[in-house]
Amino acid sequence: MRCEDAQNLLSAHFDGELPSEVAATVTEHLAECAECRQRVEAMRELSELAAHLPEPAASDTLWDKFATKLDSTAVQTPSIAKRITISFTRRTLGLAAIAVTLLVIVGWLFMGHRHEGHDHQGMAAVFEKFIERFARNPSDAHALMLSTYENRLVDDDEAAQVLKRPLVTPPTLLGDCRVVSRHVLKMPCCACIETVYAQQGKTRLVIFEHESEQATWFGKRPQVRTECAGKPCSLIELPHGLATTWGVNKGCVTVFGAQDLKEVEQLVGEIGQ
Amino acid sequence: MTENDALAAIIAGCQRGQREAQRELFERTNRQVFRIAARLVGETDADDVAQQVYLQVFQKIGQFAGKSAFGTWLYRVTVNEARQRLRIANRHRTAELKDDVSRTDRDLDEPVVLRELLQRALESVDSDLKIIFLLRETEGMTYCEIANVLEISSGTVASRLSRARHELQNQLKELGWCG
Repeated sequence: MRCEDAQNLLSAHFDGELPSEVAATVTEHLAECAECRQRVEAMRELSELAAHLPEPAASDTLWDKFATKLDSTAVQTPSIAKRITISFTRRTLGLAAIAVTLLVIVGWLFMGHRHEGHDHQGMAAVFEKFIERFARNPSDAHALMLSTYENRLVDDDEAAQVLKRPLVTPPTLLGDCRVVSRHVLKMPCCACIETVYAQQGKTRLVIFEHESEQATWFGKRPQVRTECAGKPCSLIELPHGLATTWGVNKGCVTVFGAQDLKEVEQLVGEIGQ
Repeated sequence: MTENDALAAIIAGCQRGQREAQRELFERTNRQVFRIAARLVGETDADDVAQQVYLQVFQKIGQFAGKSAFGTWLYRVTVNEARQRLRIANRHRTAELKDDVSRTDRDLDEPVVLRELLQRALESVDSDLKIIFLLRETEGMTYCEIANVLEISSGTVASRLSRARHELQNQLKELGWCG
């Protein structure tokens, strides 16, 4: 066997993945070729290094954190009808069957609903709920958007393609808030990118990149128009913190989760740079 | 009841949305999910990745038809989720990695922990090559199993693994490894 041919097979031979006849040929070659033996020895040393890589250990609280998220995304049962546990006797079988059928129809009408074609009042109602949930648990608010609007998890490149312009939200904000997910949401106003940032494992900021200003999202809450980091912004007060929106790079950004005006200044300064 | 029967029963429970079954499945598998997630994206992000993996698993477990082994499917979801995270993070990591390598050059006279060298080398190679190397060397998977997880051919596994080893050896030499 030529050395060049053997070298292409050394890795698979090392792993015992060659057919036996080919493996035998490579073994014969190794008996005669010091260079190829050296290459195999290097693989063995690399393998030994890998064997000593530290074993990362999950925290003991991983399930607890996850269970909270699981509750908020309501993945347990896909249909309202399946949640109903009915115990009945033979005499009530017919009535129970009718009841289940009715529940299935009601569940079909309301479950997995999409708000395509809803007007801005519909979006205002959704954001009203979003703001309420954000105050209790930002993860819940994010889950609401995913359950309300048709959506898709995207990476940076796909998100930019959806927006038809570069993303303005960077991988990190405020020093230690990092992107955990980006989804494209098909909302009545436009296809919008929702980016979730986490700080120390907890959802901290939810940021929407969208085409035009959406005054309805803040509902009837008093809005303050001011200048932050040199840009005109609208702000509303949330139960805990602030939400703000401003124009960036031919589009708009709306941020939920800034703790105070100082953070708003910092966010407006970092986003779009 | 065999191990396979027990797992099948747990999966069936998860498909019915039973919280106890979900917890049982989580306890049985989270070590491997977290391990591969941490090795691919780092321990800081591994928690988030692991949580996203299980969200997807429980959302889609109703569609799991048993055509592949559950473990293969779980690895596939984990690797895909980690890749997603790497794509988002990698652009800003490149500048940091260059700094790490230059610091290592200055420290060549000091004792260096070999496994740290390998970790640094792994950060430097293409993520697809890193994934294949880790699935083979740290998860002990065969070429066929890796091919199933990554949905590529065994031949592609073989050629990429060979490249991964070659590039890692080059990176290690640049970092001062004399092996």
